[in-house]
Amino acid sequence: MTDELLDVKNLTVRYFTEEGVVEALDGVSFKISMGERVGLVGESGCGKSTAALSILRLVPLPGKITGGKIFLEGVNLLEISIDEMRRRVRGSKVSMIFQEPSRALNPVLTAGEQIVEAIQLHQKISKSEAEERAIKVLEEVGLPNPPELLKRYPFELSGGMQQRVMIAMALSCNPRLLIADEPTSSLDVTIEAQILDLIKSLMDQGDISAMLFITHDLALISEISDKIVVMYAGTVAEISDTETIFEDPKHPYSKGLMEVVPDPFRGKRTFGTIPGDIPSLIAPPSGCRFHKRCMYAKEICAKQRPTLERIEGENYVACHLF
Amino acid sequence: MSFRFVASKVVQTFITLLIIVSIVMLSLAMVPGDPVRLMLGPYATEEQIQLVREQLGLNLPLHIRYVRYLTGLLQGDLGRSYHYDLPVAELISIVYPRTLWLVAVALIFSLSIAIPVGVISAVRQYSALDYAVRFLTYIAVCIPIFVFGIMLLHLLAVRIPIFPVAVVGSTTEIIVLPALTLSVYSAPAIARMTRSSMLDVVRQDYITTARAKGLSERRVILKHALRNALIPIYTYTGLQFGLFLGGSIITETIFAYPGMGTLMVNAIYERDYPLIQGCVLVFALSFILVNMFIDLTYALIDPRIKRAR
Amino acid sequence: MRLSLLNVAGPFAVLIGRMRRDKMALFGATVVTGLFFVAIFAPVLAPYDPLLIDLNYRLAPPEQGHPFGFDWVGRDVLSRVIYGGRLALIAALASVSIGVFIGTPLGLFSGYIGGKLDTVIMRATDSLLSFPYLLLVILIVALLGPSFENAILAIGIWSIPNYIRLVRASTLSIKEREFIDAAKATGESFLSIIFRHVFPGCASVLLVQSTIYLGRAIEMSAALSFLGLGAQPPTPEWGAMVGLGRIYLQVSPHVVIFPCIAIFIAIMGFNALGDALRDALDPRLRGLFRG
Repeated sequence: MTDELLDVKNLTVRYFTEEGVVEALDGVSFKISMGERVGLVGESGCGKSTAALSILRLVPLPGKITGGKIFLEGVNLLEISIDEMRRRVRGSKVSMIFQEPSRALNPVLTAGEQIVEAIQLHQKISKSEAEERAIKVLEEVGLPNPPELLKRYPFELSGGMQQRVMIAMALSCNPRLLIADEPTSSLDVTIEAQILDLIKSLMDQGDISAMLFITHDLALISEISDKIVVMYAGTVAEISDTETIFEDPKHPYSKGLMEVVPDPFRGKRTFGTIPGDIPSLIAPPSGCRFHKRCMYAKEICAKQRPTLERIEGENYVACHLF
Repeated sequence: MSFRFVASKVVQTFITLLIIVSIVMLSLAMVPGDPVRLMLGPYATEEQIQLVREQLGLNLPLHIRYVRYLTGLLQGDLGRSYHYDLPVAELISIVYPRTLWLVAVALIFSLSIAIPVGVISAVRQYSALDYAVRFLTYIAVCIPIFVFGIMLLHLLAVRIPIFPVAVVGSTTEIIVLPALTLSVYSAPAIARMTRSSMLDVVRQDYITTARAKGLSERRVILKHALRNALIPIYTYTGLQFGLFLGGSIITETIFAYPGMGTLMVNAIYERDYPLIQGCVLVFALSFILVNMFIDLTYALIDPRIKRAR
Repeated sequence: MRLSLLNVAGPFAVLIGRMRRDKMALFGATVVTGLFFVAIFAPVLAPYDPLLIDLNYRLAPPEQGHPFGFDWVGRDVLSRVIYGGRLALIAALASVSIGVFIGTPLGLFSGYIGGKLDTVIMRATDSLLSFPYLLLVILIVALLGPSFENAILAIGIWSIPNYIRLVRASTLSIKEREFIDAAKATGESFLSIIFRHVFPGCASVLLVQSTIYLGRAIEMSAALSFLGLGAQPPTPEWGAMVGLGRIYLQVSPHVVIFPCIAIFIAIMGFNALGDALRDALDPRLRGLFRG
C-alpha cells in the first residue's frame, strides 16, 4: 500500500478572457504517491502547466480553478486559505521549477538573496545559518564555488547554472513534491543532459522524493518517470506506467504520440503525424475532446465524455474503446 | 563604473552645453530689430542708443562678442542685466535656489503620490480603483498646467483661505501651492508609467517563482516586483525633469513665486537680453546636469549594467 | 501602395462604427467638429462684438443674454470665448502645418536616404526633442518678441523635430518592404518612390499624431498667451483671457473659469479624437507614441 501524496480529483480550470471562456482543464485527475516520479506529457496548450500551477494555486488571472479537489497528504488544498498555502505548502511541502531559468529568477537580486529568502521563509534560522544551508544545497546541485555564487546575479550565470540554482532553491526546504515544468526545454541539449543527470542523481540520493515532471518531449519522460499521465486538450487521456505507455499505449492519442516519434532502432525513420489540429478550448468539441482526430471514433465518442477507467493495476484510460 | 565612462559623459555634457550657449548667444544676436532700440523704447535719442550700444559692446563684431561672452562665462560672469542694472549672475543666484526648492518639493509630492497609485492600480487591475486612476490620469493629462494652477489657487486660497494668495508668509507656506500644482502636472504621467511598468513586471516568470516559494503578496510586490519596475521609472522621471523646469516657469507666474521662472518671464517683457540669456543658460545647464546624473547613476540601480561595466 | 479611396474610406467606416460604441471617440469628434464650426461661424454665433468695451458692466456676473458674464472692461465673455475658439484653431492648424510641411519631407529624406544626412538630422532632432518643450517655445518667443504670430512660429518650430522623428520612423519600416524593391526595380525615380509609395504609408500615423499635436498646440499657445508671450491684448485668445483675468479671480471668477473650461474641453477633444483615430487606423500603435 503506497503512501498517497497528491490526489488530484476532477480539476476544472477556466480562463475568463475577452474572447470567451477557455476551458483549460476539464475534470483532470491523477495521483502521485510518495517517492513516485510522474511524468505529465502532452502537446503545447494541453493544460500541463495549468495543472501544475493549480496544485500551488498559482493559476494566473484571468484564470480560476472552478471545480475539483486537490488533496495533499489528505488535505484539500482548494479549501485552505491562501495564507496557509503560503506558509505550509508553497516552497516547503511542494516546490516548483520553471522552464526558462533566466526569466524565472529575479534579475535584480543575487542568487544568494533569492535562495536565502526561500530558506528563511520556512525555517526559523538566522541569516548566516541560512547562507550556510544555501551553500550546502548549491554544492548538492553540483555548482562550483558556492560562496562566490551567492553573490552573483542571475545574468552572470549560464543557463545550466541558472537552472541548478533554481533546483537548489526549490530543494532548499526539503519539499515532499517537486514540480518541474519543462525545466530543460530552453537549454542546450548537452546542458539538458547534465541537468537530467543531476535530477536523477538527486532522486536516487533521496533529495527529491516525489516529482511531477512536465514536458512535451517523450524521450525525456521515458528516462525520468515511473508513471506517465498523458493529457490532451485539457483532459487526461491515459495514465500508465512508463513501459506500458511506450510498448502498449491504449488511448488512440497515446498511440498516435508514440508513432510520431521516429525510432531508428526499430526501423521507423520518419515522423508520423496525427491528423487534424488541437481544438480550440473556448468551444471544445463535445464528448471526447479527441474524437475529431481519432481514427477509431465511434458515434458515442461525439456525444459522451469518456471517464477515466482503470485498465489494470494503476493504469487508467479515458476512452470509449475500453 | 569606469573612469572612462564618467569622463566621456562629462565631456559630452560640456560639449552640449557649449552648443547651447552658442545657439543662445548667436540667436540673440540675430533678433529682428535692434535690441537696444527695443529696450530703450521709442523715445530714446540716437546718442543714447549709441551710448548704450557701446556700453554693452554691441557694436563689436559678432565673433569678438562671442569669445568675450564665453570667457566671461568661465569666470562666472553672465553679463549685466539692462533692466535691474545688476550682474546677471547675482540676480540668478538669488532666485535659482528658490526654483530648485520648488522643483524638489514638487518632485517629492509627485513621486509620493504617483508611485503608490501606479502600483496599486497595477496590482488591482480591472478594479474600480484602477479604472478611476486611469480615468483621472487621462483627464489630468488634458488640463494645461496653468488651468490647474488657477483652479487650485481659486479653491484653496480664495474660496477656502488656507494658503496665502499673494507672496506673503514664510517659504513653507508659499511653496505649497505651486509645488502642488507642479506635482500634479507630472504625477499622472509618472503614475501611468508606474502602472504599466508594474503590469509588465508582474507578468514575469520570476514573480511566479517568488509566489511559488510561499512569499506573502506584499513581499512579492514590494521586494520583487517594485525593484524591477522602478528601473524604467527612474529614467522616466529623469526625463520628466524637463517638464518640471518648463512647468515651473508657468507655475511661478501663477503664484507670483519669486523664482527664476518669474525672473525670466519679466526679462522677456523687458527685452533684457543678457538676463534672458543667463536664465536660459542656467535652465539648460540644470537640465543637462540632471540628465547626466541620471545616466551615471542608472548603473547603480540596475545591477545588470553595474556588473557589465 | 497607393493612397486610394479605399485606404481612406475604409478606416473612416471603422471610425464611425467605433464612435457608436466608444463614447470618448464620439466626444472627441463632437468637440473637434464643434470647434471648427464655432471657428468658421464665429461672427454669426457670437452675440456681441468681442472687443466692445462697456465700462458700466465691468466684471458683471452672468445675466440674461450674457451667459458668461462680462470681463474687466465690460466685454462679453461668451463672444470672446467664441472668437477665442477661432484663434485657438488657427494657432493649432498653422503651427502644426509648419511641422507637417517642413518636418515630413525632412523625415522622409532622412529615413529613406540614411547615411550622413540621417545622422546629422537625427542628432539635431534628438537634442531639440530632449529640451523641455515649454522652455524651447518660450525661448523662441523671447527672441522674436511676444506676439500671436511668433507664438505660432515657436510652436511650429517645436513640432518640426517631432514630425521628423515620426516620419522617419515610419519611413524606416516602410523602406524595408518589398513593394519598394519592386518600385525600384521598375526604375521609378527616387522622388516618385518617396512621394507615391513611402509617404502614403506614413499617412495614418501622421493623421493620428497631428490630431494629438493640434491639442498640444492649443495648450502651448494658451500657455504662451497666459504668460503674456503670445496673443497680446485686446485679442480674445483663451490663454490671454486667463492670464489677464486671474487678478480678478477672487471677485469675478467667471472671467477666468469659462476660458479655462474651453481650453480643457478643446484639448481633451483633440486627444480623444486622436486616440480614436489611432484605434481605428491601427490598434497596434496604442501606447507607442505618447504625444
